Amino acid sequence: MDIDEPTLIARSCRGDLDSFNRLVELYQRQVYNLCLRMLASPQAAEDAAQEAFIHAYRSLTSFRGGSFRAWLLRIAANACYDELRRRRARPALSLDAPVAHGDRPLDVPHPGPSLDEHAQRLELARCLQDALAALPPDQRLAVILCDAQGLSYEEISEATGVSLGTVKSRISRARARLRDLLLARRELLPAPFRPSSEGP
Amino acid sequence: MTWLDKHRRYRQQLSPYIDGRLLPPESRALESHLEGCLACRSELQDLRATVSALRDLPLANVPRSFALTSQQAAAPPPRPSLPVATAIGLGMRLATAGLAVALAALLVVDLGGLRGEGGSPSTGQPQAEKAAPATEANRSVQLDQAPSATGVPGAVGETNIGRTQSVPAGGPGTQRLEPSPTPVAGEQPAPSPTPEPTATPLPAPAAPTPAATPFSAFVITGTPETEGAAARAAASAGAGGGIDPLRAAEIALAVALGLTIAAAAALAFAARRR
Repeated sequence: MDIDEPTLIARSCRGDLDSFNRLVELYQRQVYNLCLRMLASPQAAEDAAQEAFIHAYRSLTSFRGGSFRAWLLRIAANACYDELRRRRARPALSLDAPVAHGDRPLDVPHPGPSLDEHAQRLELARCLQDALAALPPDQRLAVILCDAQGLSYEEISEATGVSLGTVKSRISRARARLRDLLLARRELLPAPFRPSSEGP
Repeated sequence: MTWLDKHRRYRQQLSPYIDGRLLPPESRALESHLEGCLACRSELQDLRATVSALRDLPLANVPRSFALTSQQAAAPPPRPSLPVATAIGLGMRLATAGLAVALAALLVVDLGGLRGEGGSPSTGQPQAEKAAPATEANRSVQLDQAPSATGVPGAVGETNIGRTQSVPAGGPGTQRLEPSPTPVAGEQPAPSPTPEPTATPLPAPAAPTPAATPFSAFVITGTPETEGAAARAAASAGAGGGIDPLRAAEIALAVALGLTIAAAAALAFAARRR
């Protein structure tokens, strides 16, 4: 039986855990991937995502309508910021470290029959993840929400609590920075991506 | 706008242009520019490739279900960092507002001559008459130009703050004695609700008394009103000692207000960084 989201939210607010867990199923992949792109570590992303859902359940009364997705992703983003702050307090762990060697590899769906294409996509994903990790957290979050998660500027404004102008600025700067970082590793990128050679 | 500025402006529009967030006139202007600018076209192409790569990032499968167990649902809430910060921020704002109101009330009482200390001839004079301490700071009374340490707006606040700042005797940057700003005092009969000078209990100085006190050497202007004010201040300074309680209260409130404002700003900055 399909129950619409507003109904699930209303029931969850009344303490119906089953309804809330159905919302979890709807959004867990998005939340987990946001945490993964922000923290560059599957284990850390798993912990942050779980913490985010627990916090969301306890804070349901604070949801005042609007985009539930944006509200939930805001909680997830805060969980990521908490983890980044904890890392800063423990300098031994590098913020810019790529996917930790000890972590299990990402479970990425196989996109098609070509192994070469799959390998290229993985390589590109790895380059992008490294580049994302080099961004300031605010810009990283904005560009992930926009380009990786597909949120509108308005939803991103709601999820991050900043103005539309700030959202636009962060996205613009993040993309420019990512472009520069990727251009520096042009030779590693698959041909379809190769940026224009017509430099300024 | 220079060529460089215009060029930079167009480049800043490339990202929202990709997202369709420019207004139609802006889009047309940018497209017109792109037709003739190879560098910007190249940058647009690079940005589009970057966005495309991000959008094509594969979504990883979740390693497990994040559905809550009954135990997790019943667990104590996570660290209430946000609510606590919100409560503290609200408290800081309320404290700031309360201090500002209290300081404003004191200033109104002080400058409005409501203390009932025998009144003052005009709004320009009261500071001099009421200042008791035997310091030169008391001399720097007509101080609308005094910089306010706490940013309390209005001449009233500045006057009071400035008074205490102008301590060094005749120092260059200090609030030298200056003619009363509403020196209407000079014209004596300022439209003040207080009685005429002759009606006040204090002796109305008819002429400057240069040798009245050691401080007279620091009277800069020769206008009768300032000299008279200085003389009255000297008289009251000689008569008693210690800082005026009202003044002390104003200073204390102003300092406290400044500290709460700074603390609230720091808290807001820290919260924004979350």
